[in-house]
Amino acid sequence: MQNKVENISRHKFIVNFVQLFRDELGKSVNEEYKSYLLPPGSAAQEEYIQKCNKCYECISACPHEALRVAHEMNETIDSYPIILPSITACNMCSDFPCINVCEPEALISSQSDQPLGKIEIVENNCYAYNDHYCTSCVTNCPIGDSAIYLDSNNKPHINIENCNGCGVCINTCPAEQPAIKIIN
Amino acid sequence: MQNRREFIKTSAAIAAAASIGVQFPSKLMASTDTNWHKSVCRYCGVGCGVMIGESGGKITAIKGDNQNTINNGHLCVKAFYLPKAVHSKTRLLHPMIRKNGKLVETDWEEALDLVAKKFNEIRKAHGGDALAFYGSGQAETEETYMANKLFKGCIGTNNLEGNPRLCMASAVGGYLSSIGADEPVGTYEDFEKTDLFMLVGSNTAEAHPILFERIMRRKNSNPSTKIVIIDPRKTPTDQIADLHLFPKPGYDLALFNAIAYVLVNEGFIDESFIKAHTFIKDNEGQAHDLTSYKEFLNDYTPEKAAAISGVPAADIVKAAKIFGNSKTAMTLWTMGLNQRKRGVWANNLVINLHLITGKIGVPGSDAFSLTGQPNACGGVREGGGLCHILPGHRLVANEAHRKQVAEVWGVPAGNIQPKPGKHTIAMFQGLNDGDIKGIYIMCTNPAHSLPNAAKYWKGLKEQFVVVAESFLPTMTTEYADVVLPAAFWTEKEGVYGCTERRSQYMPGVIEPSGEAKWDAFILRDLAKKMGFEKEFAKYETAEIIWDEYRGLTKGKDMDLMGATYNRLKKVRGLIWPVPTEEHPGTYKRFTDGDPIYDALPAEKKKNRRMYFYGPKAKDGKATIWMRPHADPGEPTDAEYPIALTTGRILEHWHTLTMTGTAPQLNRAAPKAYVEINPVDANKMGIKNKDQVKMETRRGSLNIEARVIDRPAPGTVFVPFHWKETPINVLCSDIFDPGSKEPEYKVAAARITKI
Repeated sequence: MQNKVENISRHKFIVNFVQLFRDELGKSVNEEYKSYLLPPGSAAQEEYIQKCNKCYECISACPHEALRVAHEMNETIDSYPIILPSITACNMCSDFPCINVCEPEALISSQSDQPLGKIEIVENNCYAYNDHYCTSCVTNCPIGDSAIYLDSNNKPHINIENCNGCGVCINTCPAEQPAIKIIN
Repeated sequence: MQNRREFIKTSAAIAAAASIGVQFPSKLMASTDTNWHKSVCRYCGVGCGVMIGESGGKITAIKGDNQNTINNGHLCVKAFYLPKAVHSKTRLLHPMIRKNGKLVETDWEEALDLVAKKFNEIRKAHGGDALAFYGSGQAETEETYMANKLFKGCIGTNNLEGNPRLCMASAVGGYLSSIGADEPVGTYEDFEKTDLFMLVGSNTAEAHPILFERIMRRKNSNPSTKIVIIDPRKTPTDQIADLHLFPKPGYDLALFNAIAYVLVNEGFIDESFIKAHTFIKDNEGQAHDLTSYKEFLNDYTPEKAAAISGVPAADIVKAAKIFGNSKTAMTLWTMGLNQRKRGVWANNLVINLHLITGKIGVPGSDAFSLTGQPNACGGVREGGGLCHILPGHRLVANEAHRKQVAEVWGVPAGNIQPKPGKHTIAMFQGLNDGDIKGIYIMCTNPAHSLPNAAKYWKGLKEQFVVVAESFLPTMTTEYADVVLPAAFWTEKEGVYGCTERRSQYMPGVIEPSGEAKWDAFILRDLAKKMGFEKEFAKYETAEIIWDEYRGLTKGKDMDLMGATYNRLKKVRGLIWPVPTEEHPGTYKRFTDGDPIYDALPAEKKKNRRMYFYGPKAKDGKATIWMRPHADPGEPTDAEYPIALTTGRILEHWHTLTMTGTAPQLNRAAPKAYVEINPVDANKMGIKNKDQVKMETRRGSLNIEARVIDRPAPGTVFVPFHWKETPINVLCSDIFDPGSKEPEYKVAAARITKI
């Protein structure tokens, strides 16, 4: 119709070339999509796995259905309770029902102030780093400006000191490919 | 437009991204088969330029138009997902008629025959005023123009309204009464020249994100730029605030007068500007001098305003001094000022601040209203899409205006009624009462968006309702007797006019989905079936409609004669007045460089730098209004102790027909919530994410609490987007007696934990 502009189909081969990698790219992205958090009050993963007896009481206790059984994640963590923030982030309840019901003390109150995971922004996937105005992670962060904040160019940054790793930012991110990931 | 160099750059970026295992979705998706077309974003009133990527008859990608000076290639996250809306499963593809209570598919012939027959029966039995049209600030100018001709010119009723009544009417009233002409004096260009942004009732960061970026860039490159916010709620806009005043919702009129009081008493006013350029009038329209204005202001000391508004007097003085000391100042406002029982007065009082200090008509200074919808200014305010106006800033009450329009429309002058029709709230009340028996609703969703919405469902249920829509279902189509599939953005050409008087052309780049048709042609074909064959025979293309409308703007303050389709297709919009094809458009009205001002005889410009020549101005002068303070329509009380205010969020737009089609946006903002200040939440024993019951005098709903330090204590905020939690059912439908705009922004509410 109107306003057709120069077609650049002679470069199509380059795109085909790139598309060869698409599957691989997709896979690696999916891995990130599956990045998970350990429940509140847990120690490092190794210790958590040792103590947890898979009674799943914590999963039943979670009022926000944020805890779930790890499935097809990796051999170490599969079948243990985890949080998938891309599906449901942790509400960080003040009374931590998950910790209260944990008999084997895989989850303990004294560790409830530990962050659930370390969060990092994937700048290549983040709209704010790619000419789009997007602030969903910052506006939805339950902690406020201190854990994730915008710089003077509206690009988000994480302040790891203040972040509790609840994963709300991951849950809320509207990017097509996850622009926030968990680093272990 | 993607040239070879850009393509190589893109490829390099993709390669770089691939090397670290991630991809740029937009750039990868936009493969080499993509044709790029210059257009305008479908969402808010900013008017960002977009490039539409089309491939194989589908819209595949959207990117910012880096040649458009409004947004310089930037977009907000909503725009990115527009292709999903175009090809959504919720698109309405066929005409539908309600049979035995259910909407069933039919063909165009049957659907339009039915509408024409019903409308003609109603008209014959009850007169033209038993019919009504309710349009939209998202409709193209050409579409609203067709509706205007059919209803006002042919059917002979002024019952023609549009949803800008719900968002911009108070700004129109404010501009007309203060500076004699609708729409701002300056443009966005002033953003890069100003020393102060005063944001009043505007969450710019979420509602007008790209303008917010421009404000931030100005502040970054010029750190002495000040940002003052006046808003009952802390919003994401606050990240750049130097000072924030938190008035109680609806109690800011005294505050604006108090700022004027400080400006007057601290010697910040420009007496020579006031003398040469303004009248001073009281609420009854009686003329006064500066001395009596000062006396009037003595009643609004900062202390008194503090007692009324809840803002500390010291902050009021501080804000006034920042305003006074700034060499140039921009005030930006949106719904917080407009959706009010005294919205026009609030607008007047804000414009006063610029008139008394002479901070208007010079680069970097303006009283600048931000519009909510992409064509509220262009199609409805300029195009005459409300019950009291006609195309080209004309009035139905003015005999000469009626004559001029009737002549161009080729209808007898007596067809256009001299009395304004029913304004929006009166129109839906008319449906309830049975005074209006048939309504045509185009490109909007009133069953969701009206204030006190449930009250007006009755009339929609009882009367004959035609809805022309691109999406199904909406809350309004639930009540429709006939639903007509409308072509959506990118499937039709037309013009949008944004906040800064800029008209921009949008091409049709793909075929309409299913059997959808362009709204202007649906109206044309309906008109023909109703018996107005002769009157509508000529409208075969969008350009014919635009040219006829363009002719009606000749010699008006909003002269668009130079904005031909041919030219608009090449440029990134034109800012009126643009009287000839050679004219570049006008940055500042009423002053040097404005072709209408420049053409004025020298004696009119003597001893002054501006001449307000607009349709409502006398002697080229603006008006400083002595408006008293007024409380909101529904103050809080012991029974309903909390002020409810409503608004928007970044990820969504209006009633979700478009943004709701993107799963990513739904994930980012999945449902409604009520923001409660932690102080209030503690008192009420409410925790974050608790379900609470919200009640006003009009109804109640259950909603999730978000305990957050955003609304000031005593105020709660709910976004209005979701039909599952339609907060507008709880909103007050009290309206401004001047602008007829309802007071969405203040309602008395109570909250209880469930």
